[in-house]
Amino acid sequence: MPYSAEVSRTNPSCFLFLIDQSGSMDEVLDPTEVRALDRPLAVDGQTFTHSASGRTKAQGVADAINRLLQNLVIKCAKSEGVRDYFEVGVIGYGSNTAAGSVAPALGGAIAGREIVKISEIAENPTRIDERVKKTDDGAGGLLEQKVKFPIWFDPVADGGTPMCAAIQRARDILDRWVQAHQLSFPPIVINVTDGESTDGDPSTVAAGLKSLSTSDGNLLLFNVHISARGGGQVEFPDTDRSLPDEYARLLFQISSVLPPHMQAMARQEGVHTTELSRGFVYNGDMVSVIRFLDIGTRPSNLR
Amino acid sequence: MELSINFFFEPKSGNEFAEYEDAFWVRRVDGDGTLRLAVADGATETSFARPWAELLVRGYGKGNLDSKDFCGASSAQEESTGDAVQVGGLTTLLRRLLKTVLWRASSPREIDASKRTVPGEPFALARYRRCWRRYVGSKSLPWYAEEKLALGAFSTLLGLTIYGLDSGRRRSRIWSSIAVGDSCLFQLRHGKLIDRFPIVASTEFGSRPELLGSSEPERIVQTGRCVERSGAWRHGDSFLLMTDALACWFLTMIEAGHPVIETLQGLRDRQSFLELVTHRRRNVDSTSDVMLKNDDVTMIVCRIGAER
Repeated sequence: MPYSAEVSRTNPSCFLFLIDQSGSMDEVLDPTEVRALDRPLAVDGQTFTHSASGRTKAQGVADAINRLLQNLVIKCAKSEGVRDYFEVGVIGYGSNTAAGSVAPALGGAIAGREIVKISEIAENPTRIDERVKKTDDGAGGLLEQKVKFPIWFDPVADGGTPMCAAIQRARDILDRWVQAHQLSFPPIVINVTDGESTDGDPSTVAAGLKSLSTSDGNLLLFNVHISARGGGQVEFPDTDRSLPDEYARLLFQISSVLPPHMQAMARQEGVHTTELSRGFVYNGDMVSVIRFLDIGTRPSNLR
Repeated sequence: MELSINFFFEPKSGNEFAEYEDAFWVRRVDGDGTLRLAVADGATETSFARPWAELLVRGYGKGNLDSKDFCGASSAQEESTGDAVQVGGLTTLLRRLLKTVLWRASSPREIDASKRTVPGEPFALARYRRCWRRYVGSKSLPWYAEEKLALGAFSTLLGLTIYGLDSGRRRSRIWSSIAVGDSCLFQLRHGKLIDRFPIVASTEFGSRPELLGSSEPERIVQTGRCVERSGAWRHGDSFLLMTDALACWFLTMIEAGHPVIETLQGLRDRQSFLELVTHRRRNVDSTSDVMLKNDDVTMIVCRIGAER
């Protein structure tokens, strides 16, 4: 039965995140202090008429990825250290850095690495921030608790959306990985974007990426479309009928069908799924993005 | 009363013995003809689960933890001086901590120290939780290990007490069992399965069993999540206590009509158990064979007297 391989240190699983770092990711989520601009401003093909304060989409995605990496590390932490159940990569696309517009995006001692063992992730955050977490005090109030928040990945928003190049880069990286890990659960690629590909139709390169396989099944490609506007959110759809435009339907079509254990996990989280549900969220807010990342990276069979 | 008790345990295939996270307890209580047995299955996704599982089986085995600790208020009990046969392999540090905690628990000052327990939290369970926290808190840990510890360790617990082993009266020959989670008890008579607890069908096993937590008072097992059962035993009866992977395999085989009882009762040493487990883990599902999930496996086989 496909997608049932045990995830172990001998046969680890791999997650590769493709993060849209285009200029539009600078758009503010949950805006406050909205003010009209003196004149309209064009950024990355979009026209803005107001300014606002608040967390940007790039910051929201960076928080979600850092939190996910933290959760993966904690999941693998045992009394003797971190077990290498997972190998992880984060590829940014859009920003025109010295490394190019598609490049590994983790910072610190593991900067420039395409795929990193989870134990190396654990040992090499670029820094550990302190954040305030509000918890129930059991008496109707809230307690503020300081928690450690390790950072591996900082927000960037600049340039276009070269999604085809990013997917091709993922294929190059994971072609080597699947050859070396034929007995492993197949790699999972999660593409997080807020916009349209600026380097062409990604259908062909996505099909090529999904053709990679281990003995346990084909690579899984999931897509997350995030929005600052909210409303009309679609999670794990099994048809493209409710999607509003051609581009959303394209992202749906290139997304893999969820394996049965992920369908079950989504149902446990209260999300309706069917046997045809795909790993795709359209117009998601950060809550749905975090939930999607959690469901998409939770193993069914961890040794 | 003649008793035959065998215990078997193996870590997951590919793991070291040091990574085995089940625990078990076999103990004959001096003087009153009572036998206490327990198995526990530390949750893989938590850290320091084995010490927590060891504490739980020890707590049950020594009579310090019982259903009232999971279902209602309780007070601490004196440590018994019975001839314990503890075979779960407690670490030296853990043993030392247990002695300290149990000694302190016997003093009135400790019993009055209500500030150290959460309101509503059974005292005996709180004591074992503190013991776990002291054990894990004695280590210097990196950020991720601290975060993981804050989540606590989790474990199932299955305890069996057999009474009346030294009694000639049939009415005294009873057993009682408690269970939190999917570790299972099976009672056999004349080579047949006559009782199963708490799970009765292989389809009931899932990936989210009820668990006892080491840190979260709100996760204290309430009535309904901790289940109890009692019954009578006869000469020649056998009791099998198993953690979930083996129990699921056993029940599936029973349901399919395979002669699995003879197989398990025929086990005499670690080598034969290892061969069985290794072979069954490699099998694939088919009409004739059932695959054993690759998990830590633990089984206690207790036979009372000769079969009549």
